Amino acid sequence: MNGKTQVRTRAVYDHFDRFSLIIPFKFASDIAIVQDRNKHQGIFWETASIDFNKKFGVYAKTKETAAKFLTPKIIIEIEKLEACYSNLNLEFNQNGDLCLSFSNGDTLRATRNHGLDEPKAFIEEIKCHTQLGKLDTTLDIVHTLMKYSDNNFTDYTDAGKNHPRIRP
Amino acid sequence: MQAKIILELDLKLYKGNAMELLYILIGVAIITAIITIVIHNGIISRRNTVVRSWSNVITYERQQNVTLPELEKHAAEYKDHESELLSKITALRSAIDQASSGEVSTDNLKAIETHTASMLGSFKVAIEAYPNLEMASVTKSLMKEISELQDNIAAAITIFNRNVEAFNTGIQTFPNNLVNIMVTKEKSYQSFQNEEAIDSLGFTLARGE
Repeated sequence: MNGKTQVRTRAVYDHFDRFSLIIPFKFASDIAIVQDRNKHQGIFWETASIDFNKKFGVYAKTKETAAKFLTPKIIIEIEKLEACYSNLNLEFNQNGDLCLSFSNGDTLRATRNHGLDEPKAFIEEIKCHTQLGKLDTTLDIVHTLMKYSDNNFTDYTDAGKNHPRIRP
Repeated sequence: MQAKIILELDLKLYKGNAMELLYILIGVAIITAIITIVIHNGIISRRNTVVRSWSNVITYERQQNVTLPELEKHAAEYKDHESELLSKITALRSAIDQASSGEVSTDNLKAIETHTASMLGSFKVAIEAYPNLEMASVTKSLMKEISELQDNIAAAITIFNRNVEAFNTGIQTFPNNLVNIMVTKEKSYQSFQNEEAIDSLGFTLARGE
């Protein structure tokens, strides 16, 4: 109602879907960096960044786990990831697997230029490499998280089969 | 008789209004006190976060002190470059020792950053002169560690500068500035600026007349 007699309607399409990537991480465990603000298991931890603390809640098994993992570089990288996604959660389980979840449904969306009305062009298009920019950016950031949370003096090459690098 | 009743009514009305006014004033005073406490606590909280982020910068600078002795050991094996590189590493360690994690002073940090750049430059020269040094896996790991430490220091400085911005905005905007002048009495912090980078850029931030 506009205060008189006219009624204005507006269609708003919303969803409560969540999407996630499960990635073997190995260099961090028992920590959740979340935007959903629900109570998670573990001790609540605040970082030294005012901006990061406004955006994320951190829950970890111990304070040391959180302090060790959330180095300044990691904080900056997670903020970069947050710029790409809404309602972002990064949850590391005790086995070191990362569940990266978010509300955006466009991570695997590619722009299609041809349809079934042009079969040959369509076949050519789907034969070609499909660039998924958002996924590439996400995996690059996750790779950076791995780089800055591993131990530089530990040789991971023998165990390489167990946790391969995730370069696309 | 009628005049007396009217006078009594007026007096009651006056008393009622005065009480109402008193309640309003008490209410305003309580709300003002609550707002002042919230703003004061916010300023203190942001100040402590600035000091903590500054401590992080110093901690990562000092972390280099753990890595540098190892680097010294490796550099000592190469006599020709030893004196120059070792003196630079020593100068850097001395600068890191002078930095205080409790007191926010960006001047010490400038000296540390200059010494680090100089030391890394010398170490690159040493590596180029001695390919064997580059091949040594420990040296590679040490260089990787120092490189990551440098990235962490850069990120810590970014976080520090953002915290300083949030703190300074928090004490300069209205009505926080009134609370700060009357109650909290905090001074603004200076963000970290790398003068070498400013010189290479050839541009400084200036305000018009």
